[in-house]
Amino acid sequence: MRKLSLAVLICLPVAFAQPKVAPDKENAMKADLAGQIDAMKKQAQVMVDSVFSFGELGFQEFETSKYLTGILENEGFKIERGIAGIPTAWVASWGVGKPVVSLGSDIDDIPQASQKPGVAWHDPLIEGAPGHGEGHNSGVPLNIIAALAVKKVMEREHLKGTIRLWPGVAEELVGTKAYYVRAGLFKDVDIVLFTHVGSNLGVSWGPTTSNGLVSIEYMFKGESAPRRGSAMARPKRARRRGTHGCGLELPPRTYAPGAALALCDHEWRRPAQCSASDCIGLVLLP
Amino acid sequence: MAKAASLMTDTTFTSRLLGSAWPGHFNRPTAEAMYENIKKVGLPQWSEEDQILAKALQRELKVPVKGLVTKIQELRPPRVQQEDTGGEGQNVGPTGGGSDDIGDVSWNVPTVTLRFPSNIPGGPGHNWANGIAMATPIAHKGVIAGAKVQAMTMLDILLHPELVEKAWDYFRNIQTKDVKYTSFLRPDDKPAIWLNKKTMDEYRPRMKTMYYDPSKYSTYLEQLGIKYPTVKTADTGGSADSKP
Repeated sequence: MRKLSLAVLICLPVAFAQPKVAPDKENAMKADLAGQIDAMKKQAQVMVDSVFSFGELGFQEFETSKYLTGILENEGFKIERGIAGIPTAWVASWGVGKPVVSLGSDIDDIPQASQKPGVAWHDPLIEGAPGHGEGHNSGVPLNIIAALAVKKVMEREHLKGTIRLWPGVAEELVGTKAYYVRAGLFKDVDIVLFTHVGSNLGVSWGPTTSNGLVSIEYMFKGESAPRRGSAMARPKRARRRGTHGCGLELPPRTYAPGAALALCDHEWRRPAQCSASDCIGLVLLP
Repeated sequence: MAKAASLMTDTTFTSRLLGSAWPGHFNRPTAEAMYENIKKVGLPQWSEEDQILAKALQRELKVPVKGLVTKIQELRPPRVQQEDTGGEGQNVGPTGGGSDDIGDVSWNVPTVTLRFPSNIPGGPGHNWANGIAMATPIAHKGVIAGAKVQAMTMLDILLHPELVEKAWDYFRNIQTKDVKYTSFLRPDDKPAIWLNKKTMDEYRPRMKTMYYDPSKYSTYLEQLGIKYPTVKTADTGGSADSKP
């Protein structure tokens, strides 16, 4: 037990060596960051508008990822693409050693949410097309602007550390971050600063309202009910007993609501036209 | 349930996982450090045009006509109902909010989510209405404010190893003291990368003709020939005092 405790202690984050910075200087560094970011307004606008115009759905964010990684690559970030077997996923890294600060934000958009910006009613750019109706065009541009400003300060002040950026691919499908975890994307990360558009500037801590969710596609193989009736009623029992009244008399031409149909040796017939030995089951039409 | 349906209908079935998400849990020391920077940065200065667009959309959606926010959100403890922040997942515990797979990340490393004011309050979320502001000065200003907060918090992490230690102490000894992460993924599950291809194949050719070209146009609004803001005549005189 003592050995285990010792091992756990050794695994705790090791304080990283960074030059001590006086509070005044730290404030000046923050003011410098703000000034730099103000000077990047144009770059931010171009990125936000560009990704808005790409408007790509989850797992298909090819244009978006190509564009954003191109910007980061030009700024000296090393790009690793195809993370976790996802073609549109990537990680951009710059810097050396600890701490590792990881910046994430989503990039996918919403089906049928195409919308002209700046117009205060529903007016699609392209009818039926996807669009950024959850604002995921803005988060990675925000992270890039922040990262570029911090990178400059790190270079100037000789600060150690690593900046990583990554996109939330297919967030609307809750489709990728568990795979990122499985691929070890966060194994050496100290803190993740995620960001998501809202209508205020805020942050919270503790548990969120978000529900856990598993999305699973089930594929059934068998004989489908060919008409508008629902699944066949008790087919096995009907076949076994063979007594489900397929001799039932119905008014003529009654394939109308309220009528019954018999599955008669793999064909749908009026119950009166099906012998009890061929009758597999009955369906009452709604 | 699938097995029961299979038995009822005399069918067989296979399944594949399309997505999964843990409920989120965000890191207290990091959030507190970030909040100090939020107070430093403050909200953007909204223009009259920004407010006119916001109020016109709120009228259109028949939600309270309050315009854009002018007061930053308080840092509140969990399980306290917060004001509408234009996004899901920040309110009162896993009791009905939307799902977000950042939850999985948050159970593996200390994580916070910064919300930034690039959108108009009152939107339903995941809807055309939440796209209206997203290539306008509202979005651009919100991104700049958010980038400042993000950058300052990065600097805190770089300069203060004790913040990282506190973040991990919270993560290990409070957040994950009794709850341990187990992935919902089965060993053979693979990302559902085929999804949405058909839809994008259908729309992408037309969308490509509308990609933003910053070499020709100052803004996307300019490229689209949209006057900012474009509102119904009755909305043009909207003022900060408009009532719902």
